[in-house]
Amino acid sequence: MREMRRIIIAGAIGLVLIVLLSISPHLSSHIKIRVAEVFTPVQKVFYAAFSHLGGVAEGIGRVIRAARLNRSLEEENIFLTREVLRLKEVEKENQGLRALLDFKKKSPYRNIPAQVVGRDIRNWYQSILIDKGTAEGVEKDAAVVSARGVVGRIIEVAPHTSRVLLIVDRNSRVGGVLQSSRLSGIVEGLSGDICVIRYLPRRSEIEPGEEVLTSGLSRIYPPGLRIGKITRVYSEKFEYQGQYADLAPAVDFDRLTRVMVLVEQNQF
Amino acid sequence: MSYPVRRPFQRLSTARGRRWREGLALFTLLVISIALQGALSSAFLSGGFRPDLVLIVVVSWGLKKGWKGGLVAGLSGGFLGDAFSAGMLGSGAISLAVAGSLVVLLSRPLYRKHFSTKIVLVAGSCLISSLVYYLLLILFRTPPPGPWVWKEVIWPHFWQTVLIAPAWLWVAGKVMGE
Repeated sequence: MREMRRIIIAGAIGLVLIVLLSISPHLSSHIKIRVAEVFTPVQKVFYAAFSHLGGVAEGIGRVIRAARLNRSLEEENIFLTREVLRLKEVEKENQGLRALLDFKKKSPYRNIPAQVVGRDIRNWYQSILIDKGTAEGVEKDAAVVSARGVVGRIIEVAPHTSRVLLIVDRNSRVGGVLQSSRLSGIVEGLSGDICVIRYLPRRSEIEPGEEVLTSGLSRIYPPGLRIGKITRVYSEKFEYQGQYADLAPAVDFDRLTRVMVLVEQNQF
Repeated sequence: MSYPVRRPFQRLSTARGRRWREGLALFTLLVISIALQGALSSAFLSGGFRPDLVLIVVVSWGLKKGWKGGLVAGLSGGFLGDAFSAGMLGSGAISLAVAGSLVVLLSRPLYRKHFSTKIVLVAGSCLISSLVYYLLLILFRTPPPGPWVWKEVIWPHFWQTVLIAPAWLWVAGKVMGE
């Protein structure tokens, strides 16, 4: 009798797990984010504490790196001073043109500031949890950015918690465009700190160091946001596939503490 | 006339109470492990440091309570962990339950009380859980390519967990009253 009971319990557990794996991703996401929301306060405390710890370690590293960087920054400063003067001229010209066209400056996005409360606990995925949800106006598939550039998009939402799929995740796809050559491709995640931009034209000249911005072709990300810089360029095996290049993301995902969720104004 | 004095929480001293206390200790340890696991990467300059603290707790619990204990701890820890990951619900629960129970069953001939044996068992369970997780991805989702999985997931998961295993096994042992 006891043995029978054990078999029934084990069978029931197995059945529940098979059902869990087979249910629709939408329902499974809903359950997951609701469970995560319950434990978010604990996660928040730990993440804040370890971020401070990381800040101290980073501070020591910065002092060492600062001495090396100082010389190159002085040279860059001279170049940038000239560049600022040139841009001031461009700005004046731009103001004049705007006034001429009676251009109304209006952002189509509503910005929702949020705090990062935790990272994905598994190496299989690259995602973060933030402390804002539907109650604050966050919606699924909204773009998430930081001061440095694109962070990712919302994949799961609860009333006060959301999960963001980072652009470095293997399942992430962002439409990208090279800033100077205006060549476009698809940016895919590769690992924790590298992305790859694919489907670039085969015979085009692409230089490492070139900035990649969002193209705005996908409906999720607004155009002109920084994604990262090209580090290496390769050719695909077959000619029709074109070239591809490794990309160092502009955002340092390990130091990420504050982000901004961009929600389209007309939807909210 | 004397009255029997009922001490507060008197019932907790019974065998049933002990089980509840142990269950509560396991649950607290699992929640703290998950919270720590999600926060650890922010403390390191190089980033991506995500040792599987939950797995260490599951193995530790399994060695103390037998394969059924490993199964229960794996299921509950894995299910909680699934909520803190972008992966599919139930995959972590199954992989940890299999790793937690299988490692206990396979290690029967070994002297499991020795600390170094426990570390070896954590290392073994790391590989088992990763392989089961990959198998589930093959069965239910589109799996990533094998070389990528080894380089980006299994190997970092393995060395990071083994590196932190001595410290977290010690913490788990203290909380579980070993």
